[in-house]
Amino acid sequence: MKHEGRQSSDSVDKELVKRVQEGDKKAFDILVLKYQHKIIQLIGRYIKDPSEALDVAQESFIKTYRALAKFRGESAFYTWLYRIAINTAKNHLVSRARRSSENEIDAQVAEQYEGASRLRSHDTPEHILLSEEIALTIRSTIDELPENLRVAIVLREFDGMSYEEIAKVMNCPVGTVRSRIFRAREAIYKKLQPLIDYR
Amino acid sequence: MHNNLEEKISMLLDNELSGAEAILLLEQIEQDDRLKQVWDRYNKISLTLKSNRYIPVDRHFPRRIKENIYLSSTPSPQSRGNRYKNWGYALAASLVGVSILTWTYLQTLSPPKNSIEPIALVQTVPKSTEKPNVIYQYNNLDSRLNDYLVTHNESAYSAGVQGMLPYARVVSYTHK
Repeated sequence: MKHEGRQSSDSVDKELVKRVQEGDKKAFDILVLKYQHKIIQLIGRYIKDPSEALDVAQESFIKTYRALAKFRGESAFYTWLYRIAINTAKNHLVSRARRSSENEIDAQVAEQYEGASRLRSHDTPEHILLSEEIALTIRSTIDELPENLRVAIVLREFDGMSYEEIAKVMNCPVGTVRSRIFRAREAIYKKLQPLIDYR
Repeated sequence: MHNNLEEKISMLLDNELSGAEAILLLEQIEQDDRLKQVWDRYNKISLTLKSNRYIPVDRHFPRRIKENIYLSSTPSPQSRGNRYKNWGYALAASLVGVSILTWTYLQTLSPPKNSIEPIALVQTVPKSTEKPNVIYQYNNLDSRLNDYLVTHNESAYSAGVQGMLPYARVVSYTHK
């Protein structure tokens, strides 16, 4: 089922990519909607300044759109997008470090650039504090959840199990798993909201 | 009804919807701000649970991408293809145009006899016989001149002025 889920996501992407290649710009808006969070968080691992990370994410999506005509679907769309985002982030770091006027550095150079990890922006004290607070809130919120919600969300989010697999583990119908995960998310959100909705 | 949609969005996040259902729901989310907030919320929770850190997504983020894509001169992949086609047609048309103009220009530059001359060269027999005539005349002249020179050389020699040829007489001879 987990595999089927991935397949379903891939088929959705394939369909949307096909639509974009046929000239449907709205289909690309949907791809942005689908992946914006993941891509921003991914870039955030390299670039700690949130506004800079957003700019690089934006650049990644624009690059992706412009290169989409050449995308032949040999890899999954997300894998391809992920690669573009990583390369864009690394290019950004290298060019920033060199204080060069050049905007583009070969992705391979960036990939091989050993200092890239050291070039990552350092977390500001506010960010470190916020991250610690978020981590503490998550742990306490999950601990406070009723057991059936807690197990369902942990199996889903941390172990990456499909609903069907969770249903087998928890010995309950898939519909129940669906509902438990949904309720767990809503409960966690209520606690996390003040911390993650500051923008 | 709302809870049902929100639960579906939660399923969408977990890739638990079929392809068709997922696209339909994504299209619905794209057009509905309230559903967008729910989608943002579940993404936030999921990503924060995994990394303990979350970079807030500016709600104008997708709009900025749209603006960049729609307003920039860069065309969509499809229209870019059409553009290349158009460039191809334009190039072909230009080449044809340039060829016609060049041909017309060359026609106006060349004198009309140019187009006839090759035929004349092939067909006119007298022309080909002219050359032997000229050669014959030249040979004839040459022999006469030689005779003259020999004669005068002899006469000059006999006059004791060796090697001095009377140029004026040679010229006057040719006029005869």
